[in-house]
Amino acid sequence: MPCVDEGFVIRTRGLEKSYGPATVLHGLDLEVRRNSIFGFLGPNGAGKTTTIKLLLGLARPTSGTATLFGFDSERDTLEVRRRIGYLAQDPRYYDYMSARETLRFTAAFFFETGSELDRQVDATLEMVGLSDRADRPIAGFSGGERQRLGIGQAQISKPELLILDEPAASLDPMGRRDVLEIMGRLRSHTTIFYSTHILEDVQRVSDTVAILDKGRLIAQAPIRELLAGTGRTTYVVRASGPPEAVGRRLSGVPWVVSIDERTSDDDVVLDIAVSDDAAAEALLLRTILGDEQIRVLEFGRRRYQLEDVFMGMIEGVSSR
Amino acid sequence: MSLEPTKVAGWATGFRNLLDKELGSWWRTRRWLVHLILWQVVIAGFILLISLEQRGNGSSKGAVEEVLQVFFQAGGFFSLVGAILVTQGAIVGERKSGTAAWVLTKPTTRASFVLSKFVGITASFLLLSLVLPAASVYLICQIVFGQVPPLAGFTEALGILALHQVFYVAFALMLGAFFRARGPVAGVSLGFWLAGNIVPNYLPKWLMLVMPWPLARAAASIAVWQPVPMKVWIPSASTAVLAGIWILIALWRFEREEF
Repeated sequence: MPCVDEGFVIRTRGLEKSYGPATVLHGLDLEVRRNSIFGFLGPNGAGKTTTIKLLLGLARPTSGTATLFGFDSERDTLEVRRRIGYLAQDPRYYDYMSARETLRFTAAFFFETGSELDRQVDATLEMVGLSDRADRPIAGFSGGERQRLGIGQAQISKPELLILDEPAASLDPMGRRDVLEIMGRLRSHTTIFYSTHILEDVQRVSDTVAILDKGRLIAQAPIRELLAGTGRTTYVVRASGPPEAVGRRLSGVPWVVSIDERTSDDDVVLDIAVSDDAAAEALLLRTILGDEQIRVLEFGRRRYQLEDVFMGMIEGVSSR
Repeated sequence: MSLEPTKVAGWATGFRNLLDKELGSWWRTRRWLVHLILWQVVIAGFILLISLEQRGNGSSKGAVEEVLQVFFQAGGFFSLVGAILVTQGAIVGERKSGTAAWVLTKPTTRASFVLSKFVGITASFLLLSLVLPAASVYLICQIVFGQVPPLAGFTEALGILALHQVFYVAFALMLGAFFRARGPVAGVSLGFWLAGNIVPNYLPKWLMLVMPWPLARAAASIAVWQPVPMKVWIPSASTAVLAGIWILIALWRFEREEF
């Protein structure tokens, strides 16, 4: 009986997919740890949905393998699908069914029908906030309601792994908040693998990230590692006074690596990259203030956003 | 008490649930009512009009025979067109809408998906478009002419016509596994029917013997105890075998489908 090897619920090796002459996924090696919330990032057309389809057995790899819980995604697809819940990018259901019927239909693939299953359906409706609309046909549901129903049907079997394809992409801010909250609630008992291009969401809920571009994996790491950036620290200083004065003060300082200067609302904003964070923390502000002409309005260590990392990587790959 | 996992394994995994869904799309919505009214109006209504016109023209037996000929040929044709139109979107529609991809991420097999459609459509549609209108026609004969055809022959004829329709359901389902649009599915299915019924003289004789084309006419003859101009079991058996082959091809093709 296959088991989760070395704590990984998803493992792909050289996974490749071509449609005719076009290769949309190039030798993907991906590892998703149990109980992680894994953000699968990439611009549109990067190959995220293709990867998910390969994991689900909806498409066949041209070469390479994907294993989920140690089961081959192609050969043991039934075993894989018994253990996962899936939410599509643009989820479609049978419009004549109500939310309750949709959940009961989904649950009946996993469990024998009966009162226990009905209780599970009720609990799921409650969890995704659709109890009051449970018996209305879903044809009239809003995008947010459909997405909540989608999460409900994906997790009704209490899967070991949830695969969500752009779960918040088409939602308004309220809908997005709801979906992220539900994901947060589910993280305690399941692994969540989700694709997105909304970097803010990833930074909010994920612990591990992979970045895909043009079908190639360009990074895979815990989000903290990615946000640590290049290893250098950058300080941001907003000051008033002669623009060249700060540069003059710092020109001979050995741990200052570079200074990027720009003006904003009559002030000078400087991004100062340093190689010795401890020295910078102790001396940088003092050194700048040594010139009486300079008045420092803001001073702080730059916090890298995932967007900076993502854009840097994507642009880095494009310029190669 | 806790949730009990389903026990079915192998190709039939998920079949019961999918069949329940297929039957539900007919019987737990207004679809059954729409079809019930449609086919009663189109077939039974048409037969009633003809019956009223036939009343008083010659013997009752002759009139009943005339009415049954019309029912098994024209009514059979209407039902056949309906069967093709209902089946044309069974796979194509679900592939287009994305529901097929959604369902196939659950623990079920593609064989269950196709077979549940075949069984669901066959059972529901044949009941609504053929069996119930046939019961109405039987009743019309009794009321209008005071005479009914022999039940055994009528039932046998109905069975042969049902087999004829099942062939086209299987055929359209198979085409749906190949084509991406409804048009070609309906077009090729109707074209196939037309080929055998409009230009049979241009087709080899053996083909006429093994294909379902003569079955509607044979059914009409059986219903009125007229001699059947052929051994009807040959096209009946080959039609059943071919329907099975279409389903196997549909399963083979759908198994290779990528979403």
